[in-house]
Amino acid sequence: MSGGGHGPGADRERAIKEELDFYLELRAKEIQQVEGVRPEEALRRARERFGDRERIASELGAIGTRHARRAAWRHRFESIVQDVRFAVRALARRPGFTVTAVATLALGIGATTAIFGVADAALLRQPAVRAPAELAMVYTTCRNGDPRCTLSWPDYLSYRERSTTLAGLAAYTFSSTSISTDEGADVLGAFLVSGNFFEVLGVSMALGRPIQQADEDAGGADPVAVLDHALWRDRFGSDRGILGRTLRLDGASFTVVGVAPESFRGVDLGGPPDVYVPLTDALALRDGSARDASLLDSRAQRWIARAVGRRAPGTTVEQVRGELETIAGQLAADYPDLNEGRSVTVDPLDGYVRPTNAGAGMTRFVMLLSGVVGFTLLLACANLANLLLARATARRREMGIRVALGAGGGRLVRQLLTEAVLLAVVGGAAGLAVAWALFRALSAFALPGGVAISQLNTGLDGRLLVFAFALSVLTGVLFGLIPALQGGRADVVSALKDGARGASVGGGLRTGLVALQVALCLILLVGSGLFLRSLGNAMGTEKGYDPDGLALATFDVSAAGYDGDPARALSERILARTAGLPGVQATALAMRAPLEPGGFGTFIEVPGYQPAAGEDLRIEYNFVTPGFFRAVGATVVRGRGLLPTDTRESGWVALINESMAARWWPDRDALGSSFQLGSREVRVVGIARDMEWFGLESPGTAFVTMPLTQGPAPQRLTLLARTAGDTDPLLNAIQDVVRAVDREVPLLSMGTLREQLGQVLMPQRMGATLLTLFGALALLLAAVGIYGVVSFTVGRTRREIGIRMALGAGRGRVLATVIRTMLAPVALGLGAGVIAALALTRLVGSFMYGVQPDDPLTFAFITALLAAVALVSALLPARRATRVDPAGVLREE
Amino acid sequence: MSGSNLFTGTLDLLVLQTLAGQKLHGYAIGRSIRAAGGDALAVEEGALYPALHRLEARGLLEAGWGRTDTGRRAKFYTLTADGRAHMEAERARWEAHARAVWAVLEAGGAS
Repeated sequence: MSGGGHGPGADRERAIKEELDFYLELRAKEIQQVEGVRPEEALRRARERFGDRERIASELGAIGTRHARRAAWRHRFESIVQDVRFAVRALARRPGFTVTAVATLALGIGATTAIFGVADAALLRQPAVRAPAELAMVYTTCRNGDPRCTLSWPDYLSYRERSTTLAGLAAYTFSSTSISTDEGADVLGAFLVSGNFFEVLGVSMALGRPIQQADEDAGGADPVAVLDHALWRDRFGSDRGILGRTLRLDGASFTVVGVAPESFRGVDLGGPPDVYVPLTDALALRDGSARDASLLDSRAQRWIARAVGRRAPGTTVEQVRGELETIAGQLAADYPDLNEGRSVTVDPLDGYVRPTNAGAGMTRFVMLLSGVVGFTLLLACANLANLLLARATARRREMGIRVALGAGGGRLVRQLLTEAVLLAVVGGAAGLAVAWALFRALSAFALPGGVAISQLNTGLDGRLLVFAFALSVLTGVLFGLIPALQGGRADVVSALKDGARGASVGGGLRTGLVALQVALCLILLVGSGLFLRSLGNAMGTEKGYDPDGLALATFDVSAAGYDGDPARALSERILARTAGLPGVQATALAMRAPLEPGGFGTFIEVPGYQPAAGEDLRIEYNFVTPGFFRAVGATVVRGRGLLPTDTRESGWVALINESMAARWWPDRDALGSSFQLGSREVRVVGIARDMEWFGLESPGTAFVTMPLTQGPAPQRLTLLARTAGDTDPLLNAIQDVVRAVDREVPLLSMGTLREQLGQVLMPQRMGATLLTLFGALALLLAAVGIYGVVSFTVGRTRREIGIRMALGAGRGRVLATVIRTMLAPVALGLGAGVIAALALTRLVGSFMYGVQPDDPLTFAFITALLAAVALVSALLPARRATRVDPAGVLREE
Repeated sequence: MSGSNLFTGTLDLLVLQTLAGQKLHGYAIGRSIRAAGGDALAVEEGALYPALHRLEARGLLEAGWGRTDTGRRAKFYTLTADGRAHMEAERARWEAHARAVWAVLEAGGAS
């Protein structure tokens, strides 16, 4: 800031010199008088006492520069404050516009924030473990080609012991456990974990110590448990004295040794369990049952749901995969009957692990939701840009005056942009309330794969607040920039001359925005229509059973210590008491609840049936009591149902479904013939109509239903009770029955078949609900947009209309002329929307049920609906044009 | 930077004190500080100017060009409201400090 002869720096330098010269001059005069010396000597003394003049001058220069720089910043800040204050005043002057804009933005930004929160929790966040990028999930491949199957404990140990590329390999499996307290038995979610679980994940406890290798080795000698932080907080009031206390889990005593940190939610999507126990403890103590203990030795029982390994320093995922594949090869060679044809799948951890049955569906569904809210927000932006453009026209005179008074074009653009961003930020703040409400509404839904949104770690945290704020600013710039640039180009002379009636600002742009709105709206509405139709179709597929009035209660007798005959006797007692409840028409017990996901599949052999090479001979099966078919409202087509006389002493019998009969006995009568199920020879005593459980099994799945008495000792059972009345009181009564029979028996779930169907159809329902909601919003926005543009055009061309009417144009002609201005953008929007929708709906094809993504009916209906709405939105303001009084208009001015 | 913090602080306070209730140019301020008998400007009289400019940059002083009685152009300084408040706070602090030092000296003398 020095050197040059002019500029603020040079001015400052001159001023400093003048100020210092002034001092020296007066000081020299003083010295001359007081000390009586000659002027030259006085000046010398004055200079000497003054000190290093050059240094002081440069110090003053530096102070001045710093000060000037700070003042410039302050000025900049003040002008922003001024802009904001001005914007506030401008917005306050038009409360109608402001409220509309803020409400539109609040909906758009709020919805986007909420859906981003879900996407973030489901897809983006990393588990709260040490260096998650070093972790990898390890699965075995199944012989049927499924790449992600569960492991047996001996296989797991083989990998753990032989691998050198992994620093550690932990195993765990999902389970539930009953906890007994004075109030009764409760069910907790449990992780049964290997001893190195917390060590491999690198998680240190909030309190106490983690489960350790020594706990696994002890194998039930001294059972321990680690609590989830939320359970500790909610059930034990964050009592630090919990360490060393004993919990009764599944009837055995476990000592609490630690509490997991609050942030730790495991590595699986869908929330942490309530309690972690060493799996060796859990197996050793579970009723001492021989079946469970043998799980640790059996290579055939593949019950380890998850294995997670941490790469050793310096090894790559490829090296790990290569080594584990080698080990899989060794195991296949050592145990050919069990392990031949099995390899491993190594998935590096990328975010929380999604349920293996979710597949790509969950990601695609979350992307779909994001797309929907993104489109809605874009539509809101288009709408606001349009409103602002209309305002810019109305404010041309104001802007022209400001330019005439010396405001630069840049300053005007900044002013208009400030207004837009201010609107967006206020809208964003209001949007947080919308997001909060939407989170609550969404928590009733689940994502494909069964991950309940309420189980996700969603909520308005700092990350989301930052997202909402950034989104607001971006939105403001997006919808504010074009109108601001248009408005900032105010032409002083013409603006002042034409006044507010001047040519419109961005006329072409505005019709373009209408086209964009119509297109976006069409996409959303088509999506909504497709989801609604799928939902309707899916609802109509409940074939072969009656979902209404059926109460379901699942309980676990083994958890209360029952096995074998006592378990059978106990479940019979619960069944008998339920049958005696008032209003109950039919009851049954089943090993597998209706709609419970498959996986019970087993192989059969039918004498006389020659399977094709590689044919899938799996069937699904269930063990039930005789009342089952009556209770679910299923039909036995031929033969008989199950009878109380079908016992373990009588021969093995089964009912098969029609699909199975048709497939295995194509030209014979299945009834009365037999098939081989493991070592059993089972006689077909009846043929039942297929039950189509939507979404769980492909239609036509072979299904075998056998008597519960001929099945294994019951553990988990589902009680079915049909009533003509209300199911809620019945469910309460069933709960009382189970409690009364044995309060230690935990109820795992209660509900109705109708509710469970709802769960299965969740993605369709959620898609239909949200798309319809946003589609309706989009329709409203588009209608408002068209209405606004048309009424603005009418207002601006009143004079022209008046002249034409004075020249004899009829009302119909005028109406047609005005409507015609909207024809092109609406037609363009509809066309573009149809093309875009055809491309986009293909992506959601997997969620469609009984309807093609390019369903012509849906497309035609939505296009017609949108065209009608556009017509009405244009017609209302256009009618005002026909009421123009020609004489009155011509007299104006 | 000339002088210690204590010295700068003292000079600042003296400048503010001098300007209480009057509008003066740099020479007049320096003269009255010297007349008050302190040695704040004994080392280097020019040190007054960085003090003045800093106080101005902090908004404690307001400066502007004007004419002296003899008609010469000079830069005059006045105290702002912030400057007055600052001066009073500083003076109270100094007095408290001085009292504390005095108390220590008294106690030392008594023993």
